[in-house]
Amino acid sequence: MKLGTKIIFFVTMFFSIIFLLGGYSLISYYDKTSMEREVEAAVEQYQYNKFVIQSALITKGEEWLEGVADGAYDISSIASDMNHTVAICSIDGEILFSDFPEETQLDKVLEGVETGKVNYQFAEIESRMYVLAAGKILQADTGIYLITGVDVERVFLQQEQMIQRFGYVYAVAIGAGVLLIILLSVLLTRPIKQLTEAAKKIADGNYQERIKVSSEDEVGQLARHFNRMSGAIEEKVQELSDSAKQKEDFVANFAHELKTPLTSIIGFANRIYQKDLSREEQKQAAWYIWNEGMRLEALSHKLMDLTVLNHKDFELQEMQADILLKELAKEEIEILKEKNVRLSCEAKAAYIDVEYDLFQSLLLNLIDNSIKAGADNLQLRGYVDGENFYVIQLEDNGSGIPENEIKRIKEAFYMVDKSRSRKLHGAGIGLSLAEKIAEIHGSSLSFESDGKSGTKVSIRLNRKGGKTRRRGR
Amino acid sequence: MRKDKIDTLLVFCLSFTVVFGGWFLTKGLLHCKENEMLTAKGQIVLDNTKADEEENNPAMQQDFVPQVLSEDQMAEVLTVWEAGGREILHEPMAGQMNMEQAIDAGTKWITSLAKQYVLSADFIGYSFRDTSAVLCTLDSFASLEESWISYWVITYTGDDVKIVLKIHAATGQIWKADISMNEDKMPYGVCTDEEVLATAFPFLPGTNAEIITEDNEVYKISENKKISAMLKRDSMVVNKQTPVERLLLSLGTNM
Repeated sequence: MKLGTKIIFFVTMFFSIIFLLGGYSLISYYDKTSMEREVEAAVEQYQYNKFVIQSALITKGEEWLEGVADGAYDISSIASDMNHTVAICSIDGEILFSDFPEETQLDKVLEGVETGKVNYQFAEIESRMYVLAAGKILQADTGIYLITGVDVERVFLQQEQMIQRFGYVYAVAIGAGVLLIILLSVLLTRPIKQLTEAAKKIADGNYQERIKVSSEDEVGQLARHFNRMSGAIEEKVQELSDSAKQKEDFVANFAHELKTPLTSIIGFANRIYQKDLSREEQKQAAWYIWNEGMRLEALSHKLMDLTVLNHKDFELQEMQADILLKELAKEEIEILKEKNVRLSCEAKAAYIDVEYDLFQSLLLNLIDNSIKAGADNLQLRGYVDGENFYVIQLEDNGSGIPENEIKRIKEAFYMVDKSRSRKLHGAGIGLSLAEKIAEIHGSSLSFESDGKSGTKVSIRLNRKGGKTRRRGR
Repeated sequence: MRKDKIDTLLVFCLSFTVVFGGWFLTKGLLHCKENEMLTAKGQIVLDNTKADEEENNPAMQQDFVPQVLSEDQMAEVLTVWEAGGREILHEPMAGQMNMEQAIDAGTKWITSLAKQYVLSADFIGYSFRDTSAVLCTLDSFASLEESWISYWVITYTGDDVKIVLKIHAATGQIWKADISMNEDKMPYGVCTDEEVLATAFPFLPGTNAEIITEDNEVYKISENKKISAMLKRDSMVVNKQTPVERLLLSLGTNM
């Protein structure tokens, strides 16, 4: 059942029950107090009538009451001074005078009458309601019963009218109430419907869908949070989409990089197999096969490293940056001398968190890249940048990177000069690896180059006292 | 979906039952309650059973001792009377005169007026055709002794004469009188207004009371100026009948 329908029905029932309970209580209370008032009024009338009889008794003497009690005296003249409908009975119950209709039974109200007390009861006499008040008036050994009847029919009529009026009010209240409840239900469920519609659209793929926030209450807050969630979903989907595309590109590039050397290897192998080649031709073909094989080997090593980087947790350790750099430089200087490449190192003291082997690999990749770009003079620097950072920079005098290609330089398999790289067994994964290592260290490589005379690569690391030791992936 | 429709239908029927059935049930219950009340009976104790015992035992009737109120107290009671309110009939309380004593006091007062020529000498020992008496109190929030507020209203009816007296139930004093009779039965010029007031209200405190005449009303102000006694004479002529003279005597606090 819809929420709006539930609200309408249950609130209507609740409202109806409360209204009826309230009406019942009020009317019952009114009835009770009305009756009590009528009883009080009847007793007061009885009291008045009693005074009339007592006055007569005092002025006419005790014999008068005896005569009245015996039925010897006519009491009608006295009765005419009394209020309302009266009856006077002897102690034996014989009716001496009565304004009531003949068939009226008065004995019930006289049951248990005591001196100083007034009995009262309701009675229907000729289709009208009366309150009968009865008491005993004693004088010496004799006495009479006095009954006073007060017509309360109008009170009953008023009560009936009140019930009827309550019925009308109830009908109007329920009618108006239901309309109000329907309106309230629509107002309450409208935002929920909007949320439902928006959720449906998002589920169908429209991740830009948002809800208009038009209030500051709980519904408004829900809408606001819904929009935030939609934004987060959109971002996540975009991330996943980008990641899937990157993987696709990676696979495509990898397949292409694999295909090129394999084509050469197969081609030259086939040539050797199919044709009678001279020794020189055989040696040349063999060299091409070896060269492409070496490329494939380098590619597989680099891919292995990339896989390891993606799936292993690395623990960084605090090290002195200047000592680290000088040590790494010292290891490379001799190797580079053989290639006629000069490496100088200048580093300021500071503490940084690094993973030694990974950092070495990063530096080697950067150096390798510089050499592939034709550099023969490399400068390795380390300096403090502000309170919290330490910058490690490698500057070369190679051919540089055109400005429009700097953005893509860190993509896997991307090469600025493919022919030069392949010649040196490059596969275009080195900088991708270096960037991955930089990410593990909580940083990123930044490149500066004018595309003509050299490249500057920097990595900015947290100094000791910055971020706490963390595990890299 | 089908279950949803069944649920909606069930809830609709339930709410219909509650709304309409509830109304009929309420109406039925109210009528039951009404019928229950109609079969109710009970007993109410009238004020002061002791007074009833006095009524039946003549020996006890001599026990009434009139209270004496100071001028200030009288003024307080008169203020409550003048403020008015709902009159409530009741049986005499302790400290109040009973009906016989009240009627007797009234008769004596009328006799005293007759003896002093305020009224005709015929009223000495006059037997009224009809006498009625009721004891009332006022529904008031005044912080006075409960028995001080009550008063007897005694009506003496005779041939062409009607005297209505308001007797303070605790003191037994006549504080208001409304005397109407045929012109020929009302004596004129025998007593001065001052003498009439002195006869009517002998208990009025102070011997050096001030007399003020305003329009056709004569006031006698008590010594401490808290209470005034008023005398007013009136005459009514009704269609070729003997004019009726009216003499009003009352205590009050309006001066």
